[in-house]
Amino acid sequence: MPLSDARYTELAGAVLTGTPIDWVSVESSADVEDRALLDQLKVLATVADLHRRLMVPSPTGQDDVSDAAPLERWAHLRVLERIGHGAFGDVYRAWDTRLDREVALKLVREAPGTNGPRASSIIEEGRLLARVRHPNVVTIYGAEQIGERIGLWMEFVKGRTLQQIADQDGKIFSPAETIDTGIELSRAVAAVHHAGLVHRDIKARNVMRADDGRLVLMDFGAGRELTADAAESVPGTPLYLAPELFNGKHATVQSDIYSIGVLLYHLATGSYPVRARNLQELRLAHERRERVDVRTARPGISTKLARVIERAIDPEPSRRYQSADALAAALTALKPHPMLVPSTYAVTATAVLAAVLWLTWPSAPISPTDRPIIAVLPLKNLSDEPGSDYFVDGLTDEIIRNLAVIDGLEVRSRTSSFEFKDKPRNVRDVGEQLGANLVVEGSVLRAGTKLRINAQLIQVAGDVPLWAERFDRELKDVFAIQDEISRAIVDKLRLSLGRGQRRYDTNLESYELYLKSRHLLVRRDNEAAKEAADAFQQVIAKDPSFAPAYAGLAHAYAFWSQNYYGISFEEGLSLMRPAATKALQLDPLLAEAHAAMGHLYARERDWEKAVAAFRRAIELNPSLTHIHTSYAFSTLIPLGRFDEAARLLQAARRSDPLSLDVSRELALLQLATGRYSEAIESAQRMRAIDPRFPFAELLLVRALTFGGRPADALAVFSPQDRENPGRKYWLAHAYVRAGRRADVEKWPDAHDDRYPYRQLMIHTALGDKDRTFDALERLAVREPHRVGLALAGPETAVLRGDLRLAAFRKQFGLPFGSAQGGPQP
Amino acid sequence: MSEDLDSTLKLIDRARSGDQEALERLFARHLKPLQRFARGRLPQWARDLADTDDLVQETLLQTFKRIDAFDPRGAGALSAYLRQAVMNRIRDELRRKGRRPDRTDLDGLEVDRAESPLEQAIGREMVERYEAALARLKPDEREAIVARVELGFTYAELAEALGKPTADAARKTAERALVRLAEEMKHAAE
Repeated sequence: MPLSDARYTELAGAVLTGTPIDWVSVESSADVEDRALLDQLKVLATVADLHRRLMVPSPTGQDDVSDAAPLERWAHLRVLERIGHGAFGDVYRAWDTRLDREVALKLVREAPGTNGPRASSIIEEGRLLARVRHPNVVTIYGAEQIGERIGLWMEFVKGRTLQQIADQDGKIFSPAETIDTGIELSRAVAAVHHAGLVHRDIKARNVMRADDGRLVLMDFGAGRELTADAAESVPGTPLYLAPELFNGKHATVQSDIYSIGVLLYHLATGSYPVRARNLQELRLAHERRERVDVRTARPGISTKLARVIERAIDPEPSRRYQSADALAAALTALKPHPMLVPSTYAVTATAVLAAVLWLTWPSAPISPTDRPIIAVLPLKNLSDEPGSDYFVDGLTDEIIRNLAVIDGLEVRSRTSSFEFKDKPRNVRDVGEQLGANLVVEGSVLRAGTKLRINAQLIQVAGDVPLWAERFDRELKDVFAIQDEISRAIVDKLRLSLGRGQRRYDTNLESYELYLKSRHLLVRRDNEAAKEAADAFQQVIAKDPSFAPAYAGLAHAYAFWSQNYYGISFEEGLSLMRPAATKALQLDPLLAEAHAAMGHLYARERDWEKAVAAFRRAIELNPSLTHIHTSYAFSTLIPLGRFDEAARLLQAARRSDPLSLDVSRELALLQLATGRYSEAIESAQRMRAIDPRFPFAELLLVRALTFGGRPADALAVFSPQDRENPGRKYWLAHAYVRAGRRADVEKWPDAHDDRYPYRQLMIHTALGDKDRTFDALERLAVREPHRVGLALAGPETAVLRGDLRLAAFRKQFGLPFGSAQGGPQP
Repeated sequence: MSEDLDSTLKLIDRARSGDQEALERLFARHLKPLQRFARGRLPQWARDLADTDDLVQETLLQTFKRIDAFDPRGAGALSAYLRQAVMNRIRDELRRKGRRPDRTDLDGLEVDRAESPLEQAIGREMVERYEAALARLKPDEREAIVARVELGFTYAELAEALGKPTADAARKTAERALVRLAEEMKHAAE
């Protein structure tokens, strides 16, 4: 039945006043002829919409003279700078003078007679939003109307929007990053929904990754977006809008879920599900339900993740997730299964003869699949030499065996893999029949004693090669080469998969020895370091493939050469290097191995590499606090990066609250930053827990000295220690501050050039800068690794401001800007 | 606009007989709406705000200088006339500046920066169809669409512009004009 003229006039009236029209229901009662006319009316509705938006007073001051003068205050807020502007108002960085904090202020102009925002609704929404307290939702502080302008002020978040991240780095998010972002975002949106609100404008530009790592959902409350180009181009962000909104329906929880889905689609693929050049095309594409599947846009995405995203963006609202919580839950289920993450190594209780070590790895940064199940196809033998088949099959066996020690990785058995030997095959069939999502295949060419092996890792979904490498080797010892190659392939696979908790099956006796040595290392004194080094050597003698022992050995050498009672700096370095390198070579994903390399680089003052190695170590295993303390002690404190060290050590403290090792480093940091009363407390606590813990006493002396209690400092050492030349120089500052300068002036060590560190303490206490610099030069030659720490301590504060110090730091390869160094004198 | 409810036709009459005040009121009534209209028709690269506004102001001044040559053809069609003058000026301006093929990505919509906001919204072809259909309307229909849709007149103002007795009468004219416009566009599509 054709539509009546009256109906058309009614529709025209709605177009002319901007009343939303439910086109779907209109069209349902229309014939073909009508539809052609309705199509044109829809175009005219878009034309009218556009002009209505243009009619909104310009924010650039064309219509509002008061805007011409820069805004200085708004209510109790002091305006600092404008950071964004748009069709309906501006966003400023401002200072809340009542609460003394930085805020973001959004000022919206009430625009009567347009589709612009209304004061009452904005303020009401602001009030509701202020109730949303969620770490992933920007915190609203207040809303108020003054004159024609409505102000909404909120937490000022420093960081980058997801759109900026995607634009600047040309970045496409990995499936794991997409999932993590989606979970955080869904929880944020759920919090908004629980407050009885819909966001209406979820998009990459409105979600920030704050500098502190938090994901923050922004920009709502005005009900409309304040982008710089909203007035002059396509309205809002049409690609994120659920199709029902084009038909005049109201925004709902489901339309927000649609927007989250589009955002995740965009992050994971770099494109959008519905593609169009303009609004008209977009409307049409929605009507025709034209869209591009996630996996067509990016084939590497797992079907499970694709299914979640596609359900979120289902054209039919009722088929989408019913709540943002449900979407968060669906995404959480996609995360790799949580692995056993013990905070220390654990020996399985039932194992008597053999202990299974579970060296912990964090979950994968890149995870091409949900749960990796790998099949190794028999390597193809490309040579026709007799007997070469045995070698090739043996190599396949070795690869399977070595892969089996990686935790979190399921490996298909040899029997099933060998079903495919010498048969034509394609990866998809193999994957289906063996139930694997990853396949390793390759070939071996043997000519005389020369071997060429090609291997590659293929993701079954989409037949995507993830890694491929060629190995050329000289064939000498058949078993050794099988072992070496299979290990190399497996390590490359672990790197490529970004995961692989390696299980070490080692003898229980050596494992216990290993644990004992690890514990000794925490003491950091010479005797303990030497004993630990010997023990690690014994472990290695029994199991030369046990990578953690090599890493431990490198650390032991570092502490054994920490001061001149042990081995020399050079000797320490020459022993550390091969041990750390070997650890990394045996197990490139071993956190301790990276930490050992970090310590080595710090000794070599290659700071950049040291930082990178320690960071990698922490990334690989955030639960090993001895890596945190080594990093702070060897690198961050010497570099003067105290804030970073503080964050790191606080994290270590949280995961291991009773660790004396962590307490010691915290006390050292407190000394370096002039927080003496806290340092006194830390040192006293350490002494209370273990009176013989090395360095606790020393830290207490230093903290008391600079905390204004030199007499108490002098009383800490026993009478014998007060006379022990190896200890007493630590008291130099306490004596001077206690008014006993003459005592120090008589000490013979002041003139003994063999002990530059002692001279440094004595001359700084006496305020003799010339002699201090001489001592520093000598220290730089004999014990260069102690220079950074010495300069970070309160004893050397006297040198700060002296031009010679900057020159020395520069020449020595330490940061020399004004912000470096410890507390001021 | 609101304080001035003298009918457009009367003002035109007075202006043509040399009444400077009437001319200024006509000018003031149309300047801002036409400036905003122009922003919708200029591509981003050519849309420096100050430039656009100057361009419109200049065009209006030129056009009003020749107000005695303006033929209201019975019903008032000043808005459409001025709008056409601005459109012509925009076309000249674009020809003078030349096309710049410059694409940018706006929230993912591949936006051709050489396109005006209206072209971005409905596509270039559709804009042409709209313009052609608008040209085929009767003068008062065209005036109703231009003044109401493009320049944002209220129905009361539209009544003044069209010389209608009431706002309601103006509304009915505009509604009929819109359906007529859709029909014209539909014919062009067939």
